[in-house]
Amino acid sequence: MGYLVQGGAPPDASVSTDKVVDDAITLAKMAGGTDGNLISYDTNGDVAAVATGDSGQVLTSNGAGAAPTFQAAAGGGAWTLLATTNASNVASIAFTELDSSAYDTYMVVIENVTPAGFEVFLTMRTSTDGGSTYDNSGYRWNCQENHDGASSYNSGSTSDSEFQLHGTTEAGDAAEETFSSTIIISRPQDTTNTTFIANSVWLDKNGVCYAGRAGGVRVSAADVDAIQFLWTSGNFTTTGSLKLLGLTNAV
Amino acid sequence: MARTKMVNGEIFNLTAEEETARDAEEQAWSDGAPARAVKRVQTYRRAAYERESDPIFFKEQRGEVEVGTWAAAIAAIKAANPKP
Repeated sequence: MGYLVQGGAPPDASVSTDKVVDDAITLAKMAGGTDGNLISYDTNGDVAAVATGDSGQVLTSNGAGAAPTFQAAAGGGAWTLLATTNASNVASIAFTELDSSAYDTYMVVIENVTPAGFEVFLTMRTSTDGGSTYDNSGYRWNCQENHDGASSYNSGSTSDSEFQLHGTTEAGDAAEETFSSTIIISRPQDTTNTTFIANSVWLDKNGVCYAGRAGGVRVSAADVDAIQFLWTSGNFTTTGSLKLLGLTNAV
Repeated sequence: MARTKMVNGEIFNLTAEEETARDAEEQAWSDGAPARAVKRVQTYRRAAYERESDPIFFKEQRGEVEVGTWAAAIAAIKAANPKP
């Protein structure tokens, strides 16, 4: 202890852990390192730096007994928002941004759209030429609808000109009588039948709430690379929006 | 007034061929309104029969309700879902 009394600096390697109070070591007291490195422990339990990864990589555990490292994120499985479209006074709304190199499956989220006139159904068609034309035959579909009075109705077709998201009770056209749906389109890039699943909710012209589960198939050994939504007659209004999401390809 | 379409958020006029096709579709939809109305009533009545009057039929067969109750239920369903 003499060096403290004398005001001198402690000799090298003379400060034990007990002589350093908790929270005394500030960042400024630590030795500099490499930008982006993280502090970890190596297999000997000694402090070690984890090397900076490349842009976009994520820190990945390598299990017990190994330091973590930065690695590319595992691919697949994430939904990506590809497009958002606000509805307008148009006859149809289409997405042609299907990209089989990046996405396996798509989801369309329809939020509170309304038709310009009541007693119409919302439908979907598919294209095999990037949206230049849309196929108007070869759709099979069925739908079960339930309303808030507890009745249930079934509808369907074995050969229709479009995939109907509902088939018994039409959508209303008042401002509050909106139609919403989520539609899953499975692997449209495959040259085989393309399937759709739609879960929808809407109000009819009397303000009755309906929920419908519809399934459909585009019966064709052709890929689907664009989709189009349209009412069985008339336009959309400016109410609501449509979103297209893609499920990233599995690796 | 020419119709328009939205593709990836952009609005375009329908081509002449698309206009003609849409005209035909909307005309067919309009022409089919009477048939759809009949089918809708049939669907609504069928669901109501299953839910409301069919159980009464069997109750009437077992003597649990007065004779004529089932017929009255049928009539009520028809009145609630009149043919167009």
